[in-house]
Amino acid sequence: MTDSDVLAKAAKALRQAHTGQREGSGFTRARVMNSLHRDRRRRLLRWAVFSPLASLLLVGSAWAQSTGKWPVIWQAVAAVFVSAPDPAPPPQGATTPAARPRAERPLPPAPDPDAGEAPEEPEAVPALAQPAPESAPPKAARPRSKRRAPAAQPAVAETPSAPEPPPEPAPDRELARFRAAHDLHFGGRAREAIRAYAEYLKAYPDGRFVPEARYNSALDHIKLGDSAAAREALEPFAEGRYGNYRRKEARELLEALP
Amino acid sequence: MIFALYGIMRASSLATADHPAEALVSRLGAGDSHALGEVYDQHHEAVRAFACRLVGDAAIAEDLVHEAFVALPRVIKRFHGQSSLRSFLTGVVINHARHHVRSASRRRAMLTRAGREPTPESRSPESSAEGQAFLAALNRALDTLPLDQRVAFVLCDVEERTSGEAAELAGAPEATMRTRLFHARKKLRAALEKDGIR
Repeated sequence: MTDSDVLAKAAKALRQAHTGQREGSGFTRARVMNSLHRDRRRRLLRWAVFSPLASLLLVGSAWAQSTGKWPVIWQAVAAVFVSAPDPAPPPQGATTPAARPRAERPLPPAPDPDAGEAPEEPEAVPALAQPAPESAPPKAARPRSKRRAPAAQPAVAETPSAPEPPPEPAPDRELARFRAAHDLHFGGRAREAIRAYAEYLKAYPDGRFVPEARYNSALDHIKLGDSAAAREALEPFAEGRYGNYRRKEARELLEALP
Repeated sequence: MIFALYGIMRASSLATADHPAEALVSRLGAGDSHALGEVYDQHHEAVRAFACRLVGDAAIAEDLVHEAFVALPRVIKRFHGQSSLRSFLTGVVINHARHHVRSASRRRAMLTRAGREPTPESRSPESSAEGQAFLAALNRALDTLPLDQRVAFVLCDVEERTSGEAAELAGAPEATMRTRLFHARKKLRAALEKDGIR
């Protein structure tokens, strides 16, 4: 017998051994049909579950959009899913100069009429440019954490019949002073702003807004064309004395100064 | 649901006496379960025979047949009538065979280790008494082949298809199919010789 004969015999043996006729073929047919019906049922169930959910979502969204309740719903949903605890504000005076400006970052920016004169980024304390009502406490000083709430609760608990409004926070003189300078800075009154910032720095040499005051007064010096004073004010920022706060901008400004 | 019913009705309207196969395919595509039953009745023997030859284990081949027929309504969109529906089904079996061939091969290896299968000695395939032992040895030899070469051997040598047909079924170029067949024969011969079959 040759090799090819062995393979031919092997092929023939396989062919004859498996003709495809089997007693269990009816059972396999039933299995196939059953699997098909099960798949179809599963698909239908998926449709039956997801279609109403999708339509509900769609109709609900349309209703919320048309009635203007979308932001309220969105806030409620966000409150459910994003329940990160609000970090407690750092104690005043204990912050490093680099960390201080970051704490002020969430405040909205304000337009600077002289922005074209110097390459500025949005100011670090821009909310102060907006005239805020005197009664409302400034954002920087407002108690944002829920941890502070229990401190006020005992007073309320003592007089349950007549709920009193929470005590007004003490007026923040430092902030008021800085705000005055800041308003002048954003009002385009550079000379007066420099003077106001200098007064603030003199009164609060370790104040919360010292880096902002120094940087803004440097910008005011640039606006007035006083390059030497601007350079002197910007150099500490460029050297990183205030961390990375305005470091890059200060370097760019120093390079651009005549 | 409405679309499916409409599809079935439309496919049924196409079921003329001139094109029963096309109508069957249309009904399959529309999701008609009775059409699948008809396809099964017409082709299950050929499909089972190929599956058994490829896998070498009747029980596992039955699972492969089941899987191929269950997958048919899903993959029938790819059938454009260039070949027969039976050839298309063979292609579906090939596509689903990998896992089943592996499990059949593992099962055989386990049974051999357990001593449930006869150990081959010097024998000849002509002897009908030793036919089962020869088949067992042949399956073991086939287990040494990669799936592509195994498919090539079964399609070309066992099912006696041309290399062109086999290439079309396996979705490979014809030259590749010939190369696979060449290597399959060579390895199979060596494996059978090693098993004492000459």
